[in-house]
Amino acid sequence: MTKKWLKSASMLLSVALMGGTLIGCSGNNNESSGSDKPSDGSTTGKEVTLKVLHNWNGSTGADVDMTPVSKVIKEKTGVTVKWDYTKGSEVEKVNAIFATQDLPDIYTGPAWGGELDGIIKAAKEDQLVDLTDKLDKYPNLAKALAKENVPPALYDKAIGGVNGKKYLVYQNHPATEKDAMDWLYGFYVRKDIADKIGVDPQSVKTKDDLYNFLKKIKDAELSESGMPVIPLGGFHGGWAVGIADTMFWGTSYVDKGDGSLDHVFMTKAYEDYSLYYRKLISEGLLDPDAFTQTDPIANEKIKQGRIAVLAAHYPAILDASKDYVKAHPGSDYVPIGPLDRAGAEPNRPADLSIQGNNVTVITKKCKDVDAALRLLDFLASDEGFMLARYGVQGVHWDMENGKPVAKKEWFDKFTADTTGKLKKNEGMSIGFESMTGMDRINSVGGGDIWADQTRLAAMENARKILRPNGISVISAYNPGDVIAKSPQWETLKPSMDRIGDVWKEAIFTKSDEAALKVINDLRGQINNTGYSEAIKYTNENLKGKEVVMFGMPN
Amino acid sequence: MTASLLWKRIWKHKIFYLFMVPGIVWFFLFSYVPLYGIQIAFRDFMYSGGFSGSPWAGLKYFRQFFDYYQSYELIRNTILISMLKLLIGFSMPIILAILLNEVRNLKFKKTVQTLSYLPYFVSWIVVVTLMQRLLTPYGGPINDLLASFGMERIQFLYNTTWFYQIIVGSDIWKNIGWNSIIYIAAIAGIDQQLYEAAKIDGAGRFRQIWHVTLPGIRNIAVILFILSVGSLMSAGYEQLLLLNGPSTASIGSVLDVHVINSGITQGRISYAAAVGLFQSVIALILILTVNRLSRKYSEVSLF
Repeated sequence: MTKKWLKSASMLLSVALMGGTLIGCSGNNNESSGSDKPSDGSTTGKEVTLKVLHNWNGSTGADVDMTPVSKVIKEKTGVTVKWDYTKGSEVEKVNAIFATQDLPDIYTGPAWGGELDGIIKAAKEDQLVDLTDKLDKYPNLAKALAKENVPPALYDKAIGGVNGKKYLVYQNHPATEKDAMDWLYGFYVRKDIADKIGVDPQSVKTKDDLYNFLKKIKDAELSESGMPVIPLGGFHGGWAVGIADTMFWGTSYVDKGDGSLDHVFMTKAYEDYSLYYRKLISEGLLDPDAFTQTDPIANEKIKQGRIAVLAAHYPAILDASKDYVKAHPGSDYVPIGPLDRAGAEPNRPADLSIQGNNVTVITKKCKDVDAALRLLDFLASDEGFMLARYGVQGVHWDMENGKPVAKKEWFDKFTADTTGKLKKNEGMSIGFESMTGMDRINSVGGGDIWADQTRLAAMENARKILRPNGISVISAYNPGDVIAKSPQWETLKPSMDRIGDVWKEAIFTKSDEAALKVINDLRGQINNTGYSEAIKYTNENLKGKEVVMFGMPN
Repeated sequence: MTASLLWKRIWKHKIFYLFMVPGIVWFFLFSYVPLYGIQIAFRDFMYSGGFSGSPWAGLKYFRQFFDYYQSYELIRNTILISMLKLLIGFSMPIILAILLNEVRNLKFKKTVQTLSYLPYFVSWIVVVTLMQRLLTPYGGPINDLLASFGMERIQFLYNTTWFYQIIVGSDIWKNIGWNSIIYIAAIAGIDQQLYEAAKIDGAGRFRQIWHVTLPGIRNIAVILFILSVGSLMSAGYEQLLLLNGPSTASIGSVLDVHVINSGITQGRISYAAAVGLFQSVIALILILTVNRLSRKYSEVSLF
């Protein structure tokens, strides 16, 4: 009897295990994206839930499903958005969703690099909805895609059409010059440390000045919390310690002297730049963990006061150093320089590539294309723009004398909440902001009503120092966008993609010769994979066109 | 044995065969069904075409890999790191299992056993974060200890001098407990009378280990060794992805990470599949060779 029971129990367990395995293997695609049909079975203005992938690493949404802003969007468009935020590499996410066909209804993500390449590839392979014949019904979207509102090379490359069809919606391009955002990339030093070593940060101008400045910090043997202060550091993965490149060349494609262009990696300037950084690493002036650290580790170092000079854009530095500065008044990070720029006249304005940051596409698996277009068109309207940025009119802000003004109650609440969660839970600073058409924060929005005044003053101060000649927005052709259209690009791209990694490897080598060998090895691979034909194609296609010759990080 | 006899035997032991079903289903779904996708190594993978609808590309991606200027370096690094892990790491679980078998205090034995399993369940990302905290020259406890003895602080991580020690050491620490389970089970299966006979013959602890325990687990060890040789072309992507940096790239770049970077980061799915297939084919050849050699010289083999 016992044996029989044991047998039955064993059989039951086996069946349960097998069932568990099979259930575990089965997909559960319906959960995240709802049914394949609109929730009410219609496609014309009725309620539908759309899954939107916001492909920005680390971006987050609200803790609640339906925020006050989402409610208004639902009332206006009938669309409820279910957000999916990326945690990890954006390029990997783009490639993964199309390779596995786990597609959202709407995708929005970076308008550059491998992310944009992935979207263009998807467009070429019929993975996206062709918007060409639909745009006339959606005027706000059409405006964001108009030729005059897109940088020319980007228009030619993607926004104007892929194989003659328009798939990509371009977002957050400044509508007017007033809306252009200068992120104020640069080297920033802790004011108290500059004072301690007795160097005026504005006296640092040249490569040698910067090196000597960092050396002085190192030689001062400063320490914080019993740990040595690192002269130069950055954020995750080395962002953006390499920005001294502007002291070595104008932009990524340089004039060889005969009017033709060459990628800077193939030039002597790149060798000088790499050896300069090798020297910083080998002499302990640049944080050796800068390229392998994560943002939490980088932020921890800054919060402990262990980084003397930071290289990044100013808003990131202000955010990361907030706590330390609060506890140690006078330790604010202040700009170094302005540093000399290779080949640029001293009175040249800062050449900034100010452009949109998102491309939004509707995937072929979208369950209601009209609803998706309705949503995007509404968000791209002035009303949608203000709603996504400022919240609900009458609740979070009012219009006074034709200008939006924040309600004091909400301004105080948002300012007090250092986590930013409260604002997100009201529906602002979440994915909607990435899909609001052209950036009109100043021209239509009258300036960010939620901005922290102290932060604005710090930015203004840095701007005065770093931009003595003002800024000039780059509108010329970027050779990088042209070479990507060359027939050799498929084989050349993997080699060109290695440049950043090889630079990092080179600066960590034990000798200058070893560094040059690492660079030359890749140059060989680049030449073997069709570089000479590709650069010839680029030069031919850029004949007679205005080409970007100077650029600064932005 | 005739077919009907075989089926009769299977039916007689049906409960045991039923227990095998989940494992067989798992292998079928996750190891055999994906074999269908191997064809993308020979196709120009397109999102619209998928596995079977993309155009054929022949050996284009294999050629691309062998033309790649770092292919030799990648293969060399992979084999070297795997060899080190195999040569040093293979014997460690055996030693741990034998040591644990010799412990007479059951409570102590169980505690050590449990503690040695724990790291296996901790993900590499947590292990590496812990290592970064412990080993950093900027306030890490290991370097603080060195400094307190008047020694120089050492950059352990992302340093070519310490790279192999860190890679092999952390791999052993993480896997030693888990890998020792099978040896502990094998030792438990050794007939106790053999130990008693050895004792009567005057064998001490070491003699008993040498003449009873080691021969008792020999077959298991050989089979596990053959299986381990199969992973010589795979150095472990999670660990290398995290512990290799620009400063150690010349000795730490391996095939596994190259496949991940090419496939997922660069979107070169067909190329990554080709490199992965190359790894698998070499691994299969290695397993078959070692299995054959083992059968010839030790009469122990997988098949």
